[in-house]
Amino acid sequence: MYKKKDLIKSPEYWLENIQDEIFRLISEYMKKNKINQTELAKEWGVSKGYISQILNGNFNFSLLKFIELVIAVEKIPVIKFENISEYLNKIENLEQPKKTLFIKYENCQYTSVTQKSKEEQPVTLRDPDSQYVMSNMDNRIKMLKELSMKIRSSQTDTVFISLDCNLPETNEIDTGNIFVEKKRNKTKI
Amino acid sequence: MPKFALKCIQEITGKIKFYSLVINGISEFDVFFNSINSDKILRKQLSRIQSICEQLSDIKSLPEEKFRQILPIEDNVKAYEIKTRDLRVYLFHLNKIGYIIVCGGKKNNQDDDVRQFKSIKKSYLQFQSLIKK
Repeated sequence: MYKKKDLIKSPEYWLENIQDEIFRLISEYMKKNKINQTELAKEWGVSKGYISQILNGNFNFSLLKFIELVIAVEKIPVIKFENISEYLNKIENLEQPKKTLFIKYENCQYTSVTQKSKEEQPVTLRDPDSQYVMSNMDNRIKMLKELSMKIRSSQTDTVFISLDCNLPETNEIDTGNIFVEKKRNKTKI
Repeated sequence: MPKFALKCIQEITGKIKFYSLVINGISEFDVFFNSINSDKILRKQLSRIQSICEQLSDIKSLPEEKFRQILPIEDNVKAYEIKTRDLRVYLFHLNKIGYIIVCGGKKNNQDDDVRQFKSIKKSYLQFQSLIKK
């Protein structure tokens, strides 16, 4: 089989994907409205052959026909273009096993970090993803910023922080996958 | 009896895994893929086949013109055919394992290829049941 980086440069690959998406779009519409090919051809004022070609996954008409077809099934076409290198990065990240990072603080000081993925046993890491003393509110913000950057750029997808002091409420950090555990209660911040 | 092994197809990364069947150290599907890949006209259809495999792996429905079950069901294991204009790929599905691609061929040789596919599938299943015993 082709490597993804080569495959995505093949027009036939995308044509196949899109033709099959159109097949599923029309099939779902027919199922939802409980109509067969003949009834659909009549409803749209097109030939049975045209419908049959689409349902065989062979739609290869003009862009205008494509838009008309999408609107006919009560949808709108939303077309998105992605940069090849960004797309490949995204795919690569999806294929990596995701990890969860557990960070423990006691008396406002970092004590341990463990990392775990589905396939692995927990591993205690050497240090600190953050050297900041957590008694300082600015340092807590810095630590959160560091973590949210780390989540975006690494294989880690979730971070649990065990902390015995309050964390700041802030909107400047994307804390989507950071969870704080305090007094046995898990709170998403 | 030939020795069989399953080689995971790493390029297909969806929910259902894909394997190619290796017989005495040789994957018939790899041989087919490499030979078509050297054909300037037919190689384009390999990208279509790979797209179809990806969609199957993601449990998406496909037109029967492109992916159909080979009937009747033999040995209690469902067999399938992936179709492009000139090429065919033969595979079967094993519960808890995934799709096993056995071989591929050209449209004009499909009767012989289906016969060969069925015979390989049968001996693989026998091989598997012997291992289990």
